[in-house]
Amino acid sequence: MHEDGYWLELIRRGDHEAFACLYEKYSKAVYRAVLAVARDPVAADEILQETFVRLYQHADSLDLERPVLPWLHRVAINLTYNWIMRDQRRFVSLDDLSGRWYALRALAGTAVEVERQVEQRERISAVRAAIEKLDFDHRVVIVLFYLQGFSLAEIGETLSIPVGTAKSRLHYARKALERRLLAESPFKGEVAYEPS
Amino acid sequence: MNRHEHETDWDDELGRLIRWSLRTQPPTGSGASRETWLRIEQRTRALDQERRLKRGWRWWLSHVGQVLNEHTLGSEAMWSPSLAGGARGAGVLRYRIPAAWPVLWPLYGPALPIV
Repeated sequence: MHEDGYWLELIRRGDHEAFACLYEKYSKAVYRAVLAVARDPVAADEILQETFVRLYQHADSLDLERPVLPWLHRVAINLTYNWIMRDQRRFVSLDDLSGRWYALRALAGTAVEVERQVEQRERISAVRAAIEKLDFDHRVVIVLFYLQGFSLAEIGETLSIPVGTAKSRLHYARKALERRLLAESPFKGEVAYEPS
Repeated sequence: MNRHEHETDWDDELGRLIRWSLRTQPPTGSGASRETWLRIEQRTRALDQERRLKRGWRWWLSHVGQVLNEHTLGSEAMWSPSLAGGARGAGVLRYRIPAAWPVLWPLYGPALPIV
């Protein structure tokens, strides 16, 4: 039995402490992925809630031999997709999301530090703006691979797609990002990587 | 996918740039916070209650249904042939249980009339 299977068995019997343990173990990772795709902290919070409520509801039907994290990601990503499709207008821009945080951080630093942070912020914004413009499937693969550290096999399992498809999506997502960064980045003159 | 795809280095400079950008995400929202957990717990407790009610209802239906079948509906089946064609044929109705009876029984108990 997988380690998560032990918790699932207890959850099936209505053990809320076991449920709290799984929440503690996985909630931050799920939230981070949802936030990276949805770009809305309120929506990410709601989706996180719904994802874990569904885990509790469907604990009976989950395989005790397998880890829960891919299942959680699958549910969270489907919910995120539904949310995005339901109301595109709620899409929050990256700069809105991160601006205040970086401003506060900058206030605490020296002038050189502030300059460095502003530059970093711009670079990050450029990459993340390019990620934001990817279509949903490509964005999800990028987030799972680079943010969550999933392998291609794990991405395939999470999204219920063959490994080859996961690989192909990652490849095209990277190509699209590369094109966008070269075309739109404020660092046109100082490309930080060698395009392939 | 290009034919050299198996040689792709996903952790090249572009990969590292993407990873760095995603992982320096500012801490926003209340994600995975105590409040979120409390809301989840509230919802799952409500689910528990709903499940318990459903289980109780199913148990009640199966047990009471069995009792009805054995003691009442069974009687009807036994009596029907002899009464069906007779002058007292209407007597069969005395043992027939209305559909609403199992539902109303918990409220009215033995006071509920058998038609």
